[in-house]
Amino acid sequence: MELIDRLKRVTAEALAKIEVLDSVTALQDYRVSLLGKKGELTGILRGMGTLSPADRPSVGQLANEVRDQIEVALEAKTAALAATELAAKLKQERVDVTLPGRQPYHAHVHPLNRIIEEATEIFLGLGFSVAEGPEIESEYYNFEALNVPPLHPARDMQDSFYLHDGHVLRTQTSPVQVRTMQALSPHYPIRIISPGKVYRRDDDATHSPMFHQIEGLVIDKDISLAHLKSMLLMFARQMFGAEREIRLRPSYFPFTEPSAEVDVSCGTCGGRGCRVCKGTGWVEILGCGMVHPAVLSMSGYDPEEVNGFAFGMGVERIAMLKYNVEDLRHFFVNDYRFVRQF
Amino acid sequence: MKVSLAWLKQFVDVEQPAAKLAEILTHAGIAVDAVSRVTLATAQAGQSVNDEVLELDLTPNRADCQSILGVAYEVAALTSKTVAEPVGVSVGKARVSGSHLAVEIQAPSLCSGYLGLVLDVAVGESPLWLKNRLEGVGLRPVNNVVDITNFVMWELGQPLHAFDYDRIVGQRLIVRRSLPEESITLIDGTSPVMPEGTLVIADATHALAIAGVMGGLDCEVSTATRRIVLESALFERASIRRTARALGLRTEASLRFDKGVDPSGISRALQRAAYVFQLLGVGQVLGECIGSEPLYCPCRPIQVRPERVNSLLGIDLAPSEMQAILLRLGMPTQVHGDVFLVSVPSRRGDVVQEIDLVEEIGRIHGFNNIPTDIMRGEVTQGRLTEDQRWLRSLRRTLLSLNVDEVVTLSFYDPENGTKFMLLEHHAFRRAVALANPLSRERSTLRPTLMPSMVEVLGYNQARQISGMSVFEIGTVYLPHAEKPLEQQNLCLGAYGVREGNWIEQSRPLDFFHVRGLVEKLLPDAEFVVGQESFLHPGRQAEIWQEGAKIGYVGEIHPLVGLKERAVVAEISVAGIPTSLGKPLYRGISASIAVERDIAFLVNESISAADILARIREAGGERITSATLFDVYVGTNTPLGMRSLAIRLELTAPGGASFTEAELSAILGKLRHVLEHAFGAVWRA
Ligand SMILES: [Zn+2]
Repeated sequence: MELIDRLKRVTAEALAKIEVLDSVTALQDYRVSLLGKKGELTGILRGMGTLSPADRPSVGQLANEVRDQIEVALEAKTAALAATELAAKLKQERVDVTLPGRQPYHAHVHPLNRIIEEATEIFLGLGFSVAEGPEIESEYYNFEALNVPPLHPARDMQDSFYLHDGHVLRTQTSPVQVRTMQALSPHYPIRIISPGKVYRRDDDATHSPMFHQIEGLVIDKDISLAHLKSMLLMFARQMFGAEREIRLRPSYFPFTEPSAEVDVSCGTCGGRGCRVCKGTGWVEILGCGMVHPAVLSMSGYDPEEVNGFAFGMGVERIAMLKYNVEDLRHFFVNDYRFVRQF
Repeated sequence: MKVSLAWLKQFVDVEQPAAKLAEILTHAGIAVDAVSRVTLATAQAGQSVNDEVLELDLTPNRADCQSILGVAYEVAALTSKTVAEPVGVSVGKARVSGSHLAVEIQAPSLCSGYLGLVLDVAVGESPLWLKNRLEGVGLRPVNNVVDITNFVMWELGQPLHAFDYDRIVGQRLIVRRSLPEESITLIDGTSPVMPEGTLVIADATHALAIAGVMGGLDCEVSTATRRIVLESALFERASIRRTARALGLRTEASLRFDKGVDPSGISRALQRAAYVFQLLGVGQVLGECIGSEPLYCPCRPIQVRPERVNSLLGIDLAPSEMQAILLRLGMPTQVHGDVFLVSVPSRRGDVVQEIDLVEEIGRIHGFNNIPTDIMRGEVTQGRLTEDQRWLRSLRRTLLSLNVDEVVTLSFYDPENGTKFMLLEHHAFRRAVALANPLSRERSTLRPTLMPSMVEVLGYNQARQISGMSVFEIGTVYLPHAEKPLEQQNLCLGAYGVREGNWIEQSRPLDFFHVRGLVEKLLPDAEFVVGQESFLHPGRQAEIWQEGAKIGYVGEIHPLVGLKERAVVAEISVAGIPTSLGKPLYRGISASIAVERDIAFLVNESISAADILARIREAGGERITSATLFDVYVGTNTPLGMRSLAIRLELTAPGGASFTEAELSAILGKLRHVLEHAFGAVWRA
């Protein structure tokens, strides 16, 4: 029968053709030309309508077999080619992974603000709030209310910047403590820190006329030097490392009594003595003490009812110790080679 | 204050090596900065002895330790020893005038005690032991008379002064305030005019010495001197400090008077000096002390409650232990029930109230023996205020925009007005002035952060840094009637490029970089062409927010003199909406947005901001975004026109999608609006 011959011939041709086609696209095109609506095989099958009913089943069966055979061959070849092509594509897409990546830029926090933020986090965790106040202060808040009498050397024009109207650039952030106490008295407890810029009339390799301080104040019932010591130990360990120790040396500040300087064990040598700690194993980090009864009274508290402690540290000093910065002036020059290291 | 160990050992037994003693003192609040070894000559030629010297860094309250004897009391207290008091000779009791001398105190408020003692002396070189004592602590031997005064001052803390007796006119010493324009020739050869009211020691004719500071040349002890008056006095602290500061004369004597000397010590110092003159065989006392001693309380009683000591220090010391500590300090106690009555010696002028004794007990007990104890009491909420959190969020926003942070000094150079070509009445010329600046460059407080920022950028340009983009949040100080106002400003600064690499191009850090940062902080701000003289006239804008000008952004004018182009923006922090950094969730549309690009020619003078605003207005809720993605001026744009291309994002309401017809209608209407409002010539 002519139709059967044509089917067999087309099938043989198709299988041969599939064998030689060498791309997935070519196979797809060929599939359409053979099996699509207008395809060759489809055309032949359409011709089955002219067959006698007796022939139809056998021819129909053959047609299905042929179609399946071609489909299977197409699929097999397509899969084989797809795998080869993918392999080739992947091979071709190879990159030199040793080349550097796109460089995302990340911003640098100034080291002084980094220290202030870190200290703030530590004290927030200990139940402190942050209090702020003006940098231009009255002599009353900067000196008198802090128990610095008019004749005290600290009030000398040599040491503080004055404005023509008699205001002074605060020499420490303690005025904020007084302002807070006056605002809250007679209520307690008070637990605050006050970070900020302060000014002293000094300009040399180890002094900047403007620098930063963080001061702290606690007012409550039954506060003792032992509480202060424990608070500072917690701070020192969080700021500098869990293995650090502190020690207190008696000192003098008008605002506090008893007063102490606080040393932290040297992180460079672990306390054995080195250049950083000048061989002592300790480096000074802050000053502190029990709030002077006169300061409490002036701020509206009864020293017989409540007391408290205060401490203050230089942010530049902490940053220099923590990051081994050798020159104070780096902090204010903002050389990009410095800035980008933080 | 330098303390010779050998000298110290004359008064107290020291068993510890110098380094250990230094540690003990430091932990008691007498900071020892350094311990050094000194080598001193002996009578045998070629032989020497060593001494060790402790350098003390005294706190202002410890005036009592400005002497070997004072340190000896402290060492004795710390090591449980007793002090061997220095030997003196007794001299006749003070009288106002005697056969040889009269003293008249005309300014009792500045001089509470003054004693003069006349001696017959044989001026010459001091013996080796005395010279060694002085040289060991860094003093230069002069002659035996001067050396003895210095020796006694160092030993007892009381400054002494020797006048050539025979050169005092009328043998009468007058303690008075200086007259207007009065001057004196001092032993250092200078002849300063003294500020009026300076305390001087004078005779009937003229000033012989600036009290407590320095002697005059006229009465200086010389080899010709046969008789001297030794002066031992108590001058008012502040007056001595003022004089020493005003004349720039900080002498060992003035430093001691400034910090305060022991009122009980003035006659003792004369007795000790007379003893040394006798010991050396170079002086004989003539008559008695002339003048008057200060009134003082030999031992002030102070109440202290042992229970309070324990509660303030956080320790548990028995009252008897406290008594023992106080006794070691030379402060005997009487017990009255729960209270001690403590007698404080006059040398401890710093101990005046209970808290001072709390400190003394704590200090001697040892701060290192105080335990650590975690604070108890009411729980407090550690938190930032709303404002503080907002400022923190502003900083974090800037950091998340990859802007580096800088910190600069608050000072301002008044010359900035000229440097930045500011008009006469420009606000940046009105800076709060310091009364006592360190230099002209830092003589005022900044009313703007801009010059500091320009300095940072210029500094880095000069160091071949290819580019930077930085910010500072800082205070500016604005003149104001009662007290200058302090305001927080934000300053942005940028120049150059952020460098790329083999795969990425460099990103310019130019005007539009900074403007983009400002837009992130102020999404609703309007940018209006600005006219600041320190900015490029064609590359600057005023920043307006809610009807108020809150800052500027612009390229620094080339005449300012930066090496490269740089851009600065400055914004009042109060003008930045507090909504910054606070998410405001509005839900997400169920509809999927479609994008359409439009392009048109428009006159160059029409601002892009106006066009974008008009598009948003005309589009209503359907145009959810309009982004300017191309601005083009070239050969195929007509003169005076520029081509703008804008990407629109259109979102249908309620999860629907636009049909092509609807889209065409929206775009057609938009085209009509732009043609009508701006004369836009449609391209696509
Ligand atoms: Zn070390």
